[in-house]
Amino acid sequence: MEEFKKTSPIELLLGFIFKDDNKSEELSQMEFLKKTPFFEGMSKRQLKKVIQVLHTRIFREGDFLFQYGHPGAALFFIQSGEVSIEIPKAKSTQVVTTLGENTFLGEIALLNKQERTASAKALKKTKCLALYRNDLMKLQKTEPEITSLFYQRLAEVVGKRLVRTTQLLGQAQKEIQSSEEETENAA
Amino acid sequence: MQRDMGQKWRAWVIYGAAITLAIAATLYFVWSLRSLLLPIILGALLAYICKPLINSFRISWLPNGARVFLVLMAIFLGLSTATQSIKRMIPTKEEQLVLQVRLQYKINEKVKSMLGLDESKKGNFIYGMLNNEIDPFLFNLNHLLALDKEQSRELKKLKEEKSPLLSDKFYGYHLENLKVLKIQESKEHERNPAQATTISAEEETSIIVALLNTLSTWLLLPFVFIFLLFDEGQIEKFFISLVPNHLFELTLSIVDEVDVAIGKYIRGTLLECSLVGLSLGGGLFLIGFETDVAIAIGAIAGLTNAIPFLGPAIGLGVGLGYGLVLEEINPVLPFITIDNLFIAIFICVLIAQLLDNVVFQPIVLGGAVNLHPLVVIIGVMGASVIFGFAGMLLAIPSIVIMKVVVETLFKELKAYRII
Repeated sequence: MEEFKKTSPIELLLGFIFKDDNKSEELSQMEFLKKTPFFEGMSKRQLKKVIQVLHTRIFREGDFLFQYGHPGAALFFIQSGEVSIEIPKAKSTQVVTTLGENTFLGEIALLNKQERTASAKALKKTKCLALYRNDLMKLQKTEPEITSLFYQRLAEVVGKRLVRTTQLLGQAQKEIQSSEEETENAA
Repeated sequence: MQRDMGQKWRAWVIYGAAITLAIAATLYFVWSLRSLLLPIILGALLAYICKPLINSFRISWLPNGARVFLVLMAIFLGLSTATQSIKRMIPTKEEQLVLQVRLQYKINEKVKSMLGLDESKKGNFIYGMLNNEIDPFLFNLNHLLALDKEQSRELKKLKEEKSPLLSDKFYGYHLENLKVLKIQESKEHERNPAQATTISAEEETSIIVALLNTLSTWLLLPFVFIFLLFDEGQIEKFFISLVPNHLFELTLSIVDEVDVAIGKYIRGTLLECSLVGLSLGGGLFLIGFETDVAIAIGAIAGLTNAIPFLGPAIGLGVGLGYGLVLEEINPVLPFITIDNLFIAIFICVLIAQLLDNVVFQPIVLGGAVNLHPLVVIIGVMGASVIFGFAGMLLAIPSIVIMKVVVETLFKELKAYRII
């Protein structure tokens, strides 16, 4: 597993002043982005531009990446670690899914400021790269090629998820129908 | 692995102490080095204004360094052209002498006619009521404008050389000025024998030392400006990286909203000041000022317009000052004469200010950063008391920034259900 280096503010400050391992950090981010479907086919220069607007965040076990009901502002790419997607209920929490390395979450925040429909909690120490909605919009003015590719991929992802959700909804409706029929037959 | 309570407590103590120390040190250094604040803030402000220029390049493969270089070159070219124009407009030493003589004469002439001193020595009722205040003021003003011995010698030399700069009329002004000064000195001597002789014995300060001190302080401005132009968001990213995870998205939203609001305000103010300068310059041209003088006074009025109340007063003062020394005018508007020029200048400044308040401000700045007039007055006066000229210049932008930060902070804290 990847080592987490800069964690405390003092280490971050020293890193910022002396620019200790900016290059190696940039290289590891670039390698990661190349593997991410959002950035497939982008040139090295374009990836560098994307890295300039990404924020590295390190979450400890139990930390929330974002919380249910809060306005969404950023998309998170999981570079390492594990995150559970949860919906808080009155007395408990429903875990929807668990996401691991090389996946992403919170993509709807890139489209609007809508409230988060679920919470995301780190199950272990997790390193993420966050992309803020308005940074992407600013990038659109200077690098329209990058953002058009990005939004194209985002549309594909959202489309696939919509298809999947429709399928699940169809399945659920069928299950409800069949259970209702069974109840009627039994009666 | 979960951290135990002891570790957490120790981390709190260490971070708390470090933050307290950092805040105390920052406050101490800011106060001690407050003379450096203005060049730093102005450098940062200029970089902030120029940043959209760097981002506006449509050639995506052009590296950031090359973009900054091109913008710096454009600024350098613009500045050198402006400097050349200003240099041409600055009067020579001889021209300054003649201007000083004309200004002193014209002021005395205007004052005399206003107070009725040209017809009778007793003056009108205004002079009768306020002569105890007016006489010392006129005495000090004449002392300020009067030529010293060296300057008088140079003026005489110009007269002997029959320089075209110094006509007989203007030399006559000089002789009249000397007479007026003598009369006022004798009046002042009667009133206050001790003080009249001590005025010229002021201590001379070393101009070179003061100039070097100012220059070394202002050297910071280009450094800050260039350093910030090269920054590609690393500084902002560093500060955001220090924010705790649960406040990350909130901070991004606040920083962005504040950035947009301040950007709009600064660029809006810049545009508003340019429009004020342009309208005043145009007005002065119409009433008969020479084109380059009208542009120069418009530029001064535009630049100083950023300071509420004082800016328009400076514009008016410079306009009236120049209007005083004018002997004849060629106005575009036929009804303007040398006699009603003062009223025309006053109307020009008034129209420029009216346009600013009724048209430019509402259209360019909008209602986003509306401040109550009382806040503006107290802010400008308070800041000038604490920080002098720098405070006066930066009071309103600072209040606007604070207002935007506080408003956005509360709005976002509520949206993120923190308060």
